[in-house]
Amino acid sequence: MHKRISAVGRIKINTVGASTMFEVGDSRQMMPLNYTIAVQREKSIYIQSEFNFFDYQIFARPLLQPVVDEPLRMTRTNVSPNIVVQDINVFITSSSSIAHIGSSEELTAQSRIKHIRHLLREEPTKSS
Amino acid sequence: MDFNVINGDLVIGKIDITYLSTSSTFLVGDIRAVSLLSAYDTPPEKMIVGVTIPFIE
Repeated sequence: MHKRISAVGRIKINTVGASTMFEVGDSRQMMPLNYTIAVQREKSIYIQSEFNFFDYQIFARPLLQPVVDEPLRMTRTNVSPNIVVQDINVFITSSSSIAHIGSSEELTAQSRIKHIRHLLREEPTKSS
Repeated sequence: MDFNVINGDLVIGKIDITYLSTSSTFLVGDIRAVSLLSAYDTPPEKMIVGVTIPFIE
C-alpha cells in the first residue's frame, strides 16, 4: 500500500496518561486493550481488591470479529502525497489510547467496561 | 467489488481533542485495516442496593 506523508505543524499533548502511546512515525500493528471496572458508590468508601475481573463474565466472553468475505479490489490514487494538519491540541490521553502521527497497517482495538452503581440503602421488600 | 479511491489535497487547520480514552485511537495517516471491539455493561443491568459494604480482608 502506498502511504502518504503525515505533515503536522505543531502538536501539543498536555498529559500522556497510563498505558498510552504517542507515536511519531509509521507503525505496522496496533492492539490497544482496555479492561475497566468502574464503581460509583453513594459514599466514598474505597476497599483494595474488592472487585475481581474473574468474577464478571464480560471480561471472559469472546467478542466476535466481523468477518469480511467479500472480494474487494481496492485501488487508490494519491493526487497529493501529503496529509497536512497545521495544529493539534490534545488535553489528555488515558486508558490504552493512542495518538499516532504517521501511517500504519493494522489496528485492532478492544474495550470492555463493567459499570457498577452501589446505593447504600435498604433493599425494597417484595411485599411493598 | 472494485473500489477506487482518489485522495486529493488534504489540509486541516486545527484539531482540538479534550479527552482520548479507553482504547481509542487518533491517527493522522493511512491505515489498511481497522477492527474495533467493545463490550459495555452498565446499570440498571448491574446495580447493587444494600447497606452492607463488602468486606475483604
